[in-house]
Amino acid sequence: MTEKELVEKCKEREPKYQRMLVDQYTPMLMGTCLRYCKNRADAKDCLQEAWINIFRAIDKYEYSGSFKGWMQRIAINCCLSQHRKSASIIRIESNRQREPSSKLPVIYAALEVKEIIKLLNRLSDTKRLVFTLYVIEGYKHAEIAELLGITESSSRSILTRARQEVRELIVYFDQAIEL
Amino acid sequence: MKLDHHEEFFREQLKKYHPDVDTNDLWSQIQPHIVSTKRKKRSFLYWYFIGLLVLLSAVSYSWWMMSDTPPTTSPGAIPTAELSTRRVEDFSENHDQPVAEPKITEKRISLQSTQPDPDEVQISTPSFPQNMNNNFENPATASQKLTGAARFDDHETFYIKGSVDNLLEGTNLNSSSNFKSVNATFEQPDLALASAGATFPVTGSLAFKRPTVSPNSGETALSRAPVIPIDNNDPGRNHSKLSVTASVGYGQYQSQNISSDYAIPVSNQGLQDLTPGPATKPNGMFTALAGVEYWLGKSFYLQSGLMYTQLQSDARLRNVYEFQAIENGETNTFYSDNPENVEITSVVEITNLDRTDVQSHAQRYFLDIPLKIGYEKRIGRLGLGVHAGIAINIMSRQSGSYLTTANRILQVGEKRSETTDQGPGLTYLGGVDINYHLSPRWSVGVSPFGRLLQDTGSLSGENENILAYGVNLGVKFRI
Repeated sequence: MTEKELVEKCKEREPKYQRMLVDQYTPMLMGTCLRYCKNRADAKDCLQEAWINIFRAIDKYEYSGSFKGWMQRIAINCCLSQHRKSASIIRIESNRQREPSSKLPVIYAALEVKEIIKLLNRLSDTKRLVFTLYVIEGYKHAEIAELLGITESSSRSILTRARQEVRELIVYFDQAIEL
Repeated sequence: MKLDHHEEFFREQLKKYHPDVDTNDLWSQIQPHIVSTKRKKRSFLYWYFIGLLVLLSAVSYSWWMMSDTPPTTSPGAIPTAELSTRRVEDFSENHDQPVAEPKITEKRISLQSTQPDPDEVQISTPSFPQNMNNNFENPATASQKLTGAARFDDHETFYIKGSVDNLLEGTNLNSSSNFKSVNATFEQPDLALASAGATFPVTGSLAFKRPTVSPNSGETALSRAPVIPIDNNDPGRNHSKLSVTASVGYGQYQSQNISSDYAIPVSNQGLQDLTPGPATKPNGMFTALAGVEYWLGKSFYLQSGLMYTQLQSDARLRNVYEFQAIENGETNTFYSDNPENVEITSVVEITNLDRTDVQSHAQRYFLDIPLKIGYEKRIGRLGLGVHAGIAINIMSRQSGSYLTTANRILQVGEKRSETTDQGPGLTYLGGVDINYHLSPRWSVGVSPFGRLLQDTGSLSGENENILAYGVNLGVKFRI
């Protein structure tokens, strides 16, 4: 069964195919949710909310873009919505400039995915969201600004600091290993 | 967006990270929130078939109500359950008389259990129309044996069941043979059960089973079927003799002349008389009607008005190929719509291949004045009828067009069209009508129809009879 046929069946509210869709795409969406949530429990909550929203909105999907991308966007929106509910985390932090770190060690190449997620989780929520949306998802600053309710310049500024902090965290990981 | 190496690495790793999740648990949590709120989309054919089935059932019901002859049974037939039902006389035609004590008549019908299927609430075989036509000399010799059945069930209110078997071994005035039968059963548990079928090679068969006691499971919902109320003030009966109607319909037609083959052939850069390829869509017909009906009594009416019909054949494509072949040391260019048929002697090499597309369309427009006579039998709010008539053509026009794709072969994309007026013609009309009377004035209906158009000219200049068929959807307003 092709993806389009599966979507059509889901539009007809056929439970069998809805279940098939869940089985097929849950791992991918869980991966997406984990990038935006601090822990697995929160990610599961977001994933559940995302699936409900996907099935409610599936009638509106008109094959204009990738179905996976469409689902991921819904999942990301759910995660962001969850963040907004839990705290007003989207605030602009001070423009404290840091000294650029020395040359980045290549230790990052040895990091496993779970370690990368842990590393990113050490960023503040705002930085993590902006970093993930920009670097991992490929969103533009205008889109990030709209999603997070901040200005484009703020998005750029936060990203710069997030990138710097990630580099520092990698150095920290490297030093921790050497010790 | 320019990413650092480590960012690229993070991106790659995270994008392909698809952790395992217990989908059973997840599904159990989301399922209650996505309970089906939307009915399944039904296809056009689905509803068409249902409409037809209802029509056939209602007609057979009328026939059964009018028939007082009890069927006889064959001693050799498979055992059947003899069940007795009662019915109330139909007073629907005696509107001017007060409704007296209903006359009760007895009618015996036979039900036969066919296949043990726990999903089926009620199983029945068709009751063949013993007196419906003269082809059946002795229908009582029926050997009603059902050996195969296919069932379509929407798990809601009804099912359709089809079967093919030596269902009836009867003696026919024309021949004596084993008749094949195809049956469909319709069940709406709170209303009634009806079945319709066709018997080959003799005739169609119709049957209607009054709600009764199931031989398998005792009383069923069918036994609770309400008697259709007969109301002397029934909507739509006491009104003027005029009604206005409008309808639109869609169907198909069969014609040799109204075909995209007759669109203007391509002639460009050596491509002579290139005709389009095979049709990629069926020939479509659109029709619309606005008219007035004059009622002759309660059941017959005359109808006239203005009828528009459009027949269209289109979307025909053909690929044109270009070859550059080296022949005797010289490079020559060849064009063809079928490269396998190109005869090139001494071909050394085909060095290039390209193609273009040709799309052609042909349309025929008619404006007619229809004159129809119709009959409608009212059963409560339901009106079942037939109509027949002719349509006199007052305008007929045909157009053909083609469009070539601009590319290296056909240097310029070209679109040409041509329209010609056609001579007058005559159309024979016929169809069945299923109307539902929403109120004393308004009714809506569906009408499967057929038409035979006597075409008196086309782009080819040839006369032709065109057969068209389709379904109309309409609305009626009683003035």
